[in-house]
Amino acid sequence: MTNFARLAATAAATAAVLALPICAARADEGMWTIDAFPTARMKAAYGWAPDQAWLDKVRGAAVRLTGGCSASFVSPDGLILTNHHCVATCVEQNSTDTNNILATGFTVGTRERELKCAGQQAEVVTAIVDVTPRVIAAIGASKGEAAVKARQAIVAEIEKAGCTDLATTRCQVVSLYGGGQYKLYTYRKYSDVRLAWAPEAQAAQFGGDPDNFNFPRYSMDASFLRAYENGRPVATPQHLKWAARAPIDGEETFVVGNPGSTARLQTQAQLAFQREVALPITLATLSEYRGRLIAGMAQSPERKREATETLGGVENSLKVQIGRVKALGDPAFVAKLAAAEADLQRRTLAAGGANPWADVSSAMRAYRDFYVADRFSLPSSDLFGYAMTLVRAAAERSKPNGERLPGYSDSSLPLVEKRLLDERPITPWLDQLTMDWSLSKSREYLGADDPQTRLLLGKESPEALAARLVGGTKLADPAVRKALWDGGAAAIASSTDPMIVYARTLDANDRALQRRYDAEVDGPLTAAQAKLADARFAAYGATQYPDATFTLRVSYGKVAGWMERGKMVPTRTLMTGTFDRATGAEPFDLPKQFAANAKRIDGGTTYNFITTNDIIGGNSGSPVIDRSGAVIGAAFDGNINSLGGNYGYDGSINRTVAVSTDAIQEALEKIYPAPALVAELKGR
Amino acid sequence: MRRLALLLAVAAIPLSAARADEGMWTFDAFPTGKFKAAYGWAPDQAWLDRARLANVRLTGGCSSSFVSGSGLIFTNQHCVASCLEDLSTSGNDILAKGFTARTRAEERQCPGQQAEVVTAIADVTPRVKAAIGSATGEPAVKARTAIIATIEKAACPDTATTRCQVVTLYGGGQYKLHTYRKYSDVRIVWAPEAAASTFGGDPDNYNFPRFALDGAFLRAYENGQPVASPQHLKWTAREPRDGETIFVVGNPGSTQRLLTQSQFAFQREINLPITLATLSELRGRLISEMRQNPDKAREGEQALNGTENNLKRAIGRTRALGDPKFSAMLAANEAALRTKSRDNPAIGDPWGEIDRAVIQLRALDTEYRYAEPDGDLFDYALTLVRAAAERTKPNGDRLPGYSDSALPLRQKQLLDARPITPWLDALLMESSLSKAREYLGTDHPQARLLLATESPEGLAKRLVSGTKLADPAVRKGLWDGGANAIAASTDPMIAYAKTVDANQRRLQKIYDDKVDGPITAARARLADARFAAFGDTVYPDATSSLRITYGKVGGWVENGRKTDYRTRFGGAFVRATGADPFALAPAFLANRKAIDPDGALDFIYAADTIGGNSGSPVIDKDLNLLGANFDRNLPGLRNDYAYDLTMARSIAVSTAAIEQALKVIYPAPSLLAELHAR
Repeated sequence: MTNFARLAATAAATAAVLALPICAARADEGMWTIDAFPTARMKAAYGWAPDQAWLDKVRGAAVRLTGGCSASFVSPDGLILTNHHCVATCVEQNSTDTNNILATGFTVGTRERELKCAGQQAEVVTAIVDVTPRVIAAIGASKGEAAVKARQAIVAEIEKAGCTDLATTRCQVVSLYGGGQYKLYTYRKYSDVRLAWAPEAQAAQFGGDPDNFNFPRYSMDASFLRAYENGRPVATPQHLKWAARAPIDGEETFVVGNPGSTARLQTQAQLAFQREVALPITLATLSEYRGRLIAGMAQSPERKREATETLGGVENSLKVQIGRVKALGDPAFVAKLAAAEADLQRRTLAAGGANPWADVSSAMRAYRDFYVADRFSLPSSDLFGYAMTLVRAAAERSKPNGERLPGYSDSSLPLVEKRLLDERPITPWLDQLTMDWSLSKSREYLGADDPQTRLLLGKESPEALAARLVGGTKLADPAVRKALWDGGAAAIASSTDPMIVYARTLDANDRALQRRYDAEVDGPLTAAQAKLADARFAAYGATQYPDATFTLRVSYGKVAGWMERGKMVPTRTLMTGTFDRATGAEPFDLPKQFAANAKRIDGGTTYNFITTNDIIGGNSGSPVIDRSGAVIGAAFDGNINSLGGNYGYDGSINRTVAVSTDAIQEALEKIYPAPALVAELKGR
Repeated sequence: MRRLALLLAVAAIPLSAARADEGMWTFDAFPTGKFKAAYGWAPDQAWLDRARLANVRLTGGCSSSFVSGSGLIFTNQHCVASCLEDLSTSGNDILAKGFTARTRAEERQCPGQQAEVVTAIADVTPRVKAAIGSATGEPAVKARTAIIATIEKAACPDTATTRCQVVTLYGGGQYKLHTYRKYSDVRIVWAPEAAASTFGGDPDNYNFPRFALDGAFLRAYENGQPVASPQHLKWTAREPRDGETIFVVGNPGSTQRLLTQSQFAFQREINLPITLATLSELRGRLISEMRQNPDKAREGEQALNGTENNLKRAIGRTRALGDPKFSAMLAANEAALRTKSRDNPAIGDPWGEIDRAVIQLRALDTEYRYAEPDGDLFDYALTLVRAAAERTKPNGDRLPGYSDSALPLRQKQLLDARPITPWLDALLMESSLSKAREYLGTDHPQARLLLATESPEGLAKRLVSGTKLADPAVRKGLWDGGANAIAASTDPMIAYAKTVDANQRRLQKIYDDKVDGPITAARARLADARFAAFGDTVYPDATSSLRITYGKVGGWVENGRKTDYRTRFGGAFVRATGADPFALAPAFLANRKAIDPDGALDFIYAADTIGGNSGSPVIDKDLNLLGANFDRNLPGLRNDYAYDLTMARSIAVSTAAIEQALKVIYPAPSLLAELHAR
């Protein structure tokens, strides 16, 4: 399952209509790579900018969580600060009927009782190297599928050569500007990550989906993990200083983390594809999934516990998509994007010269013809995901590194293997519901008579097929998965596990679609986007940041409110506000420990606060850092205006929402007492 | 009510000037000249009168026709499915098993259903326009409502057997008084198994080839006796012929072909995305809930079918308006009309006026849409609260649905006994309340009004389990008791409806003033502009009133392949997989040897229909009944916005198929005898 990170940030429903080129970053806009921080720009705006030592220190403390979140080291003993919603799946998986730590929260007196998080890995960037010339040279004059293959091969080769020690390092070549630059990121990785502290879920999720992407907000969306190696906490001398203080209005803030993806450099043809083809399908299918989950969970408290995080992820994702639909359905916003493109075209296009926009348009036209097939080629389900990984890995591992599917190169396999083999509970009813839903959507969008529908369903109904496969497979058992992994191609070929058999059936068709995508879409798009990147640099200079790629970025900004319907929204909420907002009915019921400790809690403590930082989903858990390099909060959300940030940033109304270290400390001291953690954070 | 459309001719032909076989024509304006030019003959007035008088509007939202002299009505199974569901019980699921009344005594009354036949159409445009005069905004809407109530009341003094309705055409360009003979006792006579009529389910909905036996029979009663219907259509049960001319007569519900660009943009940018998301979520909730046990599966089936059908329509409309070529065609049509109207000072700038009203609508939409929750019990409560207040006012001062002419049907639908399914009603209410909070925002005053400090699920549960309104006697007591009874009621649903009522009325006022009033005025002039530009080749958007459309039986070509014009029974056996919704009905399997596999099942034709045409008789030039319209193909999903003759097809179940079913699958010899009586 995708781990949906709850963050997002940027553009605007009522954006100014001015035709400012979006690609020329304004004000506090920008998710900057840490090797290209816009020092001069920030200095011009703030009279101060961080130096290299500051940036290096922050980079060393910034942690990427492979579940799809960001985080930071906050003690010398591997202690990691992130959001509760980034570890909620881990908490859920460690919960039982009788010990529901998702509901009650989790605190431990000693490190020995910290709980492993399945599939989770912590990663710290140690080096960034430009490999653009090597990748471009390898692609050479090839086009379409051949270009994609050449790129994948050289990327696999560079990654393998860059990280010989796969146990403690990970190498990843990142494509920036959609193919304009390639950078090799080297990570120190920690594949044993444990839960150290989490508040009760209701404190983190107070206000639930209704309050998500809104501010004022009252959420204890914080938790602590710890990185281990060889059974011991890792030493992290490069950690951020813990400053349990309230933010000051107007002070500079930096958000350092891994924004997942943005589409700010997309052309009109790509945006039209989103608006006309992809987003309507997403709206309808995710909404139905949400409905199925809600009614499925209402059947018993166990089911409710088992699917809470899945539903939370779906609702968060849906809200993001609804925000995108609104943004792309807002004539003023769309006009601004169109004007930016027209401006770049005016500066770039010469008569008879190359026209990358036309190339993008024709690639998107080609994609419209088989997008539905591509989107609905494999069902959703954790168990099916295991099966597909096993089937694919068995085939790919027997090939030379450079010829494999991208996710199965030598540099990728360790994390694939970890995610596959880590022990975690599977919830059959939930997996079956998910598979049933996704198969029925496949049939709906493909049509009952489409050959791919027949391939997916045979003569079975979605519900019967899902029941048969989920009921019959043994893949929920990690030992079974391990045997199939170790057994390789021979074991897969002889397996009679129904899910493995099913995955084998679907493999060839999905590979054919992937090849078609590479040939008709990815290849031409990457080539055109590389040209567009060059055009932007030529037109607007080097201060261009790339679209988000779930790699390390820095955003600078300040603590500031925004004007909403003529009223200024204050920069912060206080903990006492939780008590005022509580209604007693879900999701506005007061967290039990808040109620129990009402008298002890200092109501004047700053709870959540907002900044102008430019962030998006994936930034969840990112440290909010002050000028001195100390952490004063963890970013966990954006305001409602930030949902357009996928396409463009508007500094006047887009805000990042963070939980303050002051509130977290209050929780550690008075609500979910963890004296050892408090001492550790204070460096005592 | 199933259908929609995909690929469209790109040429910028003005849609408003009807081409070829396009058009949902009113009976008082059949395009005889146009038809004759295309077909070499045209139906005369006697023919049209016969077709009109045999046609029956069902107040459940469907069309149908008389097919015997004793009030026998032929329609779709999906038009009577709610009735079958209402009459089903845990032990006797007649929706699933089908229903055959062996004698008339076994025919069972359908709750809330009424049959209506148009007996006269009169133009009242001058009176309505005169009453509106120079009023604008809310006063214009009030004046219109008042004059309509007056006209309707005066024209139908006998509200027991007649019903009068002023229909607005061209969005306000014309007003026509329709007088109906009404029959408020309608009974179920025959229906096949649901698995036979909905074979293929949602996946096959809006598709062809199709293998659905979507037919059923009702009978109109009066004073406990079947009504005499000498004007019925002829049941010959002959198979349709490829290329033959057919007419479809019925009550298409609504189309949006005459909207302006800003109204289309409102649909595309605001309305449709919310509809997609909310209907999809409701669908998901229903599916999960119905999986819990067979009773829930039975009780929720019609709600799910309706939701899925509406969702498919919304998806089709989203695709149409998201298709750059289609949108360009709509834009070009508007541009052409603007150009033609440029030198006509009487037209003014209705487009600009609508643009401004749509800006107001955008601001108001969320509140207006989420002014009240869904749910049958809540609807009962609000009707009771409203009726109590409105009935004390003079006829012309009331809300539109509460005029003297509207009250009899409202009362029937309120008081008819029918089962309420508490879990389903609570689900609908909870779902809609949670969407209200989602789209309004938790802190919006209207969200607070709707929920106070309760959760959607807590509130829905409290109201549905606490109210007594499921009991028709309780509803009758409150209806008869009027304002005093409502004021004194402590029923929680009544109390809740009272809370919501004032806010809804406030919003309606704003809507009338800022949106309805200005748009109706502008559309009246747009209608004038169209008449001036294109003459009388302009038909009005559908309005659930009687229309006639025509065309030819025949398939369409898609991706280089021509679809055959009909399916046969044998095809159902080929298509069946054994898994729902492609599992054959048990009676099909049991009678496989007796069924003629070559017998026609469903067929298609190029006639312009939309939801509401379900059950419409498909008749040949000799007034023989060939089938009952029940769906469209996928390209037909675009019929909301435009009709594409080359691709859009309507789908009917053939009378030949029904005949075969009555003979060998669900034997009904007395019904057969009645159908063939001369």
